[in-house]
Amino acid sequence: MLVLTRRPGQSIMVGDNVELVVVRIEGDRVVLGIDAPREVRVVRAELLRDVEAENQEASAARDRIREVLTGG
Amino acid sequence: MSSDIEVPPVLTLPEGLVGLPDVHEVDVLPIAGGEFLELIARDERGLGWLAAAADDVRPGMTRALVESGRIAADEALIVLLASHGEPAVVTANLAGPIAVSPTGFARQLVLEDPTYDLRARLGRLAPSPVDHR
Repeated sequence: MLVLTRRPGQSIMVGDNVELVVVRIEGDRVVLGIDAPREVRVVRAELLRDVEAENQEASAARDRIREVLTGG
Repeated sequence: MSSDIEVPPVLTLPEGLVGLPDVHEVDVLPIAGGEFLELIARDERGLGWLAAAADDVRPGMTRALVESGRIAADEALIVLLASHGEPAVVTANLAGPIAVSPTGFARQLVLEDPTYDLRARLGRLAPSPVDHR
């Protein structure tokens, strides 16, 4: 993993068209600004993991859900 | 589905679903009198999902995403259903809706907006008790 040190107001380029800006630091939190093309998915990693887990759980529970929705 | 949307009988997902990148084609079957959809993966045997029109769960969701530029005006929006707890409560994943084009190309979005719940309860869509009178 590449580790870089930045100060508020400074940025990092990812590829040619994604820019991450350190907006400010609040205690133990870093506020980032992200400028990326619309087609680039930018989400918190934990949200992506949550959606992934929900997709898998939804598939595993398909028969059970069908029973609930159709009444048997 | 009570919302008036058109979903083609086969969906093509070039990027797969989140965490399931190999799911590229699914058959779409209406169930419960067309109130819901069943999605069956063609390439991944055993994988399948139940889905509903996003607007049936969160009225106005499609329009909101069109207006924010997240989906095109001619795309339909569906959400996958899950089941949690005992007794089972059916929930809809509003945080990861699927946008479907009129030609069947589909993509799963991930919405960084806390108003779109990962597990929105499906209360009003629960089947009504059968009236035996």
